Amino acid sequence: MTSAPVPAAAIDREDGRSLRSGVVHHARIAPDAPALHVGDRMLSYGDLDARARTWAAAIVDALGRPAERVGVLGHRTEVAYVGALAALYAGAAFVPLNPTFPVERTRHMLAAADLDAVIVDDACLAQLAEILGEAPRPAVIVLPASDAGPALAGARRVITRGELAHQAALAALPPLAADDIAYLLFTSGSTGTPKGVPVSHGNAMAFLDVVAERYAIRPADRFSQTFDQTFDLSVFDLFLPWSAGASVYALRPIDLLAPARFVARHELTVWFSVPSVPALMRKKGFLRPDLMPSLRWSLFCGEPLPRETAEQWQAAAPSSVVENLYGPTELTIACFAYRWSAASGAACHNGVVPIGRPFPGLTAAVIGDDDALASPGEPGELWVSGPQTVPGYWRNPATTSARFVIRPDLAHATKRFYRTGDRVQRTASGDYVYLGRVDNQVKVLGFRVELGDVEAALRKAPGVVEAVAVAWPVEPGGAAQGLVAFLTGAGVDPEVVLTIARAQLPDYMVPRELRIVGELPLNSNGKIDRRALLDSLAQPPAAR
Amino acid sequence: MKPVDHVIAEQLRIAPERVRDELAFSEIPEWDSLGHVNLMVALEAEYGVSIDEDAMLELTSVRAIRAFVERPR
Repeated sequence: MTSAPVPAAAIDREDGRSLRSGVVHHARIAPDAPALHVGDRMLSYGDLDARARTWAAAIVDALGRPAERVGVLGHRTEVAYVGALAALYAGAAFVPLNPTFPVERTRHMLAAADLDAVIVDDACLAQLAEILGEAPRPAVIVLPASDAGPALAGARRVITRGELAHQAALAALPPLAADDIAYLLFTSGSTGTPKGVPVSHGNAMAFLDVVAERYAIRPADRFSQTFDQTFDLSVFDLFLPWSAGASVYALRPIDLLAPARFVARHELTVWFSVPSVPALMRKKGFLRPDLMPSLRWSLFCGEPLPRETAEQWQAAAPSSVVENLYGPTELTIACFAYRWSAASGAACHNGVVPIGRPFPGLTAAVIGDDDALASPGEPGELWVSGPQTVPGYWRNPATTSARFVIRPDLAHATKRFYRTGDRVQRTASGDYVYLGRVDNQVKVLGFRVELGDVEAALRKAPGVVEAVAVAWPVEPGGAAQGLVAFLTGAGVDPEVVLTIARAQLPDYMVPRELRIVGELPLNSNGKIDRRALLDSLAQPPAAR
Repeated sequence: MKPVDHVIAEQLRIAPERVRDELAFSEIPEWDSLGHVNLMVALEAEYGVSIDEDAMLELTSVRAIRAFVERPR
């Protein structure tokens, strides 16, 4: 590697500084450089730019103005990737819609986002009419890979592949400002109704500047694309490499079964995924030393990173630096990072790698149960303020004012903090460790119980792979009478598990009941769905 | 030994009548990467076979799994 690192996310002298400006810039200076690989197809920066300009032109022409929000219905396909970029080229925020989600959920997101247009992959045509229903918006439907669309209700303008072939590309892109929304994502809210999170170009560029420098991204880098586009970590996968003129390799679902093979075949240099991907490799014994010599960065985010996973991945990718990242969507992709080293084992808490320290420019505060700053070493809720803190929830002032707060006693009076709902602890070394969700802290018979502590104790029993504890039964006032734990793993003996738990935990923390299950339910973001576990307990025994 | 359809239905947590030859990995939400790895581990335990990485990537349909399990050994 002889080329000089690019110090920050690229800007384009004509297009300025926004999430799209990396592609605009590199299409101008290196149009033939590879930007995106999907299956056997490669799109250069010139190809990406030309397609996005054409699709955007069709939308702007049909609307008679720049768009505000454009949905993209597709899953890990060329249309889905280019569609997000085309939305930005049309002056809009992109709103990813996932065809593998239940139709009802997508319909809710589509209505809540109040879209001007939607770009649809041909694999999703059958679902399209069902999703759109009788709603008048969006009025513009773009089908870049189809010559005919389904019969759609209302006076919609449907633009097919044939029409796009004759469409003139946008010469001048609608300008974008730092406060404009770059993307609008929906997170699974605790009430079951997805909450919209609008992320501005200013938020996204603040993030890209930090990571472009931290990882010294160069045009020669080859990135994995593992995250679904409805998950904000996919913005890292796509727009960080595109900001630096590097290339992206999209993994199909089947490639995620053998990621080391994919890395080796394409000589990837940057890997980024949830820790579940290496966990599956471990389960089958496929995570072996020296499998991925090409990697220079191995990054994990989205859920706690178990120590053994970090150790085994480090051995499998010995030339890479392993990092554990942390960040909710409301703080723009990631805002903490911990660099793994040979000495990191001692820094792990409950067998989980620390989340490290906040990115430069961010202010982090740990707020204790008394609503004041926690003393060093004391656990509390993590609050974060800075340029990555998003403006609030989409058209939801009540939840926004509850979660985004100004606290002049903590920082400068204009700083807005996002209350993450995550419990953390700052250790003597200055690194933060993740303890669990604030709402995973429950009171059992009046005692405060950290469910993560119970789960860590249960995981020490032989055969236990995963352990999740929930408070149950719960009285109407919220007081829990005990705990129930769900375990996965082969050959788990409940008696042995309970003996080991009793040896480590006070009585009130020992689960009253253990349930051995084949697997744990996951929510749409791939995280363990505690609500579904509670629902399963709430059902009468006959229905189980 | 359990019939292979039962093992597949059990591991993917789907009704046995949904197990047809054409059913393939990632076609239904239940048959995701986690479901697939669980299924491979269960096939190894049930039939005493060893499934390496190549085989895991090939055994992505009910038809392929049936042929693999029922082949003469």
